[in-house]
Amino acid sequence: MEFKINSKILEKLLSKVIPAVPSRTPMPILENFLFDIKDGMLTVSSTDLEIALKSSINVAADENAKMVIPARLIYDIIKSLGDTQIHFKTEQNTKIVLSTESGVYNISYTSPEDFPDIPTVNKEKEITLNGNDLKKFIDQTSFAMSREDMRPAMTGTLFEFSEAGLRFVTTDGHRLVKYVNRNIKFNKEEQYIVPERAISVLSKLIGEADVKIFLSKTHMSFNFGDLDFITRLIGEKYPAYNSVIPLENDKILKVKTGDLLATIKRMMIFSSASSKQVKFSIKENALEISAEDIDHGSNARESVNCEYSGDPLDIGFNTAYVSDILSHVNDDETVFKLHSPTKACIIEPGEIPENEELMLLLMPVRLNN
Amino acid sequence: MSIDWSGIQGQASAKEILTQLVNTSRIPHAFLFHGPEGTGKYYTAIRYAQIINTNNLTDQSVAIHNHISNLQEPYIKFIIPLPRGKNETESSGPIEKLNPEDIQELKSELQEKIKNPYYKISLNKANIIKISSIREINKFLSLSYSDVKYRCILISDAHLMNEESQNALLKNLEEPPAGVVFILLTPYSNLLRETIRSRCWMINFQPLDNQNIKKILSDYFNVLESVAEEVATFSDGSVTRAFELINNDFKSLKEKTISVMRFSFGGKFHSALNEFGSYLSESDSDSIKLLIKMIISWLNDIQKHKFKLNKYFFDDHLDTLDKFNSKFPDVELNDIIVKLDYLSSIIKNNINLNLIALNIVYELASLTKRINK
Repeated sequence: MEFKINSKILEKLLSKVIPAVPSRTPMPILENFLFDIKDGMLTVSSTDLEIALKSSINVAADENAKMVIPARLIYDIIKSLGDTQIHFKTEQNTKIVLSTESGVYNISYTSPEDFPDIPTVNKEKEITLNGNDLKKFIDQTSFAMSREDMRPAMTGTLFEFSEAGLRFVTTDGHRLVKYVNRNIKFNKEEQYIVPERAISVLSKLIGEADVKIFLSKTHMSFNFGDLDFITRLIGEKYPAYNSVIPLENDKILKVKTGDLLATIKRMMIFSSASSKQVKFSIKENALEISAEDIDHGSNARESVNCEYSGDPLDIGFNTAYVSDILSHVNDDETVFKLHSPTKACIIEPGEIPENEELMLLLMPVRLNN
Repeated sequence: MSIDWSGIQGQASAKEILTQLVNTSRIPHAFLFHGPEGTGKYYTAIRYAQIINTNNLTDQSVAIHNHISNLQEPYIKFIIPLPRGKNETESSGPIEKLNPEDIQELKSELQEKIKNPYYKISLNKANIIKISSIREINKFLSLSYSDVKYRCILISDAHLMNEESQNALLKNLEEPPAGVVFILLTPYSNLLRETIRSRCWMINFQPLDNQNIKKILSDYFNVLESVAEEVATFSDGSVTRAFELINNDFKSLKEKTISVMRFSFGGKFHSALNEFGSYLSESDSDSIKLLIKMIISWLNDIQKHKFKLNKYFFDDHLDTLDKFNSKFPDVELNDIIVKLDYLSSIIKNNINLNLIALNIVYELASLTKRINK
């Protein structure tokens, strides 16, 4: 079997597929690419058994072949070749010979039987999303995924399809993010939980182009035109997140997002390392934010301009969480909907594009005086 | 339905129980394979995983068979004790912080185990099953795998899970998701928590007989038949032990045992200690245990010879046994065996090996009244 290909084109192809190759694994087979040459089409795939990537390109090969090639080795050599024509040729069913004008590189390959199957997802359930939209959803929500394994469902992002729109939900038990796009409707209510690793790889792959998503019970596949990304889903039930969203929060606090975020960043310096607590003292049109580190005898206090008309209220938060949430509000104005110092607080952007909804929920911490 | 257990030597009752379970298609979700090292627990577990996954399935069964033989996820998740990496923290993955040499060692040991199911994996400094490995199981179980019939979680040396790891395992062991089978392998099931044991279907593995040991040694370890024949008697029915004896140069070990005893019984303490000295200089602390074990086997032979039993460890030294028994007809062997056992057990406390040697020589000499205690 032999074919010719430009090194830059091959490099581009391999660089798309390499993110799914695990860097440390006791299973040597996963450190390889699967090269599948079939009817003038070269398909390269990689997998770590949780996620898989697959991309194809046209080549003029004289016969079909399937082989397993060490991923790092071939990627590194192709990358360092510069812009040149590479001649691929297999020899004695064990070696692949890459030759350029000036060099010859021999790489041994193994047979494809042991390479794990790359799952294919049934094309029955399909939706198309704009690349920018999908990227925005992921950027807005992924920070709140749980890192603890105790409740596996919460370590992923929930994709919830419904008649009311497509919802993205993440939570770690302290905060919850819900992002809704009402433009994308689905006639049935369905939930899919995508694992954290898939989300982080996915966010790097998404470009401007439309993304086709195929759904099955066990897998979700994202098609980016020339690249397929397939991930296994978390097979657990997502917690009933709607029941923790309070409805009776009637005290509305409006602040400038940038001002508050800057203040919170300064408070992070003063809040104690163990509790990371920051206190919001809210009175009519006056917000005072303070933090204290008892161990070091230091404290700080700042006033922030705001609009507020309810009863005075003192409420404590974890500075790191407030800072995370404010960085994801994406609007000049932030609205806090409060009820009492022990009830969950809802944070929303002042303005949001039509047919979208962003809700961030944050649990307060108990103030210790 | 008959089931193919070919290649797995002995263990008739374990095979029978597993066959029955497959035939009644009631697959318990957790097993505890319990029995001495090197008796085929791992091999049986792998074969069982293949059987339950390919039962009543024809088209993909060869592929699945191979995946399982190669220890591939998702069919098999193989958990073994691992060394601790540098700067490893609570949140690190089990192999995330290992250095490249450790990973390389791990890979080659796994390859060896895949090739030879009776091989014993031994990794440097791997003396615990890490909590992160157990957490990884939990993560693996949370993923949706309804396209796979059975996922087997194989935990080798399960007794090396510490308290924390065992607790982390409990929840999933009790109610795993559908299509998951836990198989715990251990020679020391009493070191596991009662709560773990009570959740598992216990299957006992017996020591193998000499024929089986010989067959395994020649089939899987390429050991010459004559050597296999000789070692099998001393192996306690364990392939691992037999292989250990071969690695420690069984022939010379046997000769050393005889000469140490001959000198000790004869009161030639200096020569006996010299023999010990030369043996110790070329072997590590574990191999003196082998020597002690050999001596105990010899004493065992004396006892048997007294009662005219016919099966001996040292059957090529029958005349010596005969001579010993006629010369010293009423020696008390129980005490000395207990003492030797004790000496063998304190080696792990980093005791001076020459001191052990001295003790052994004097204990033996006291048998023939060369010294009075």
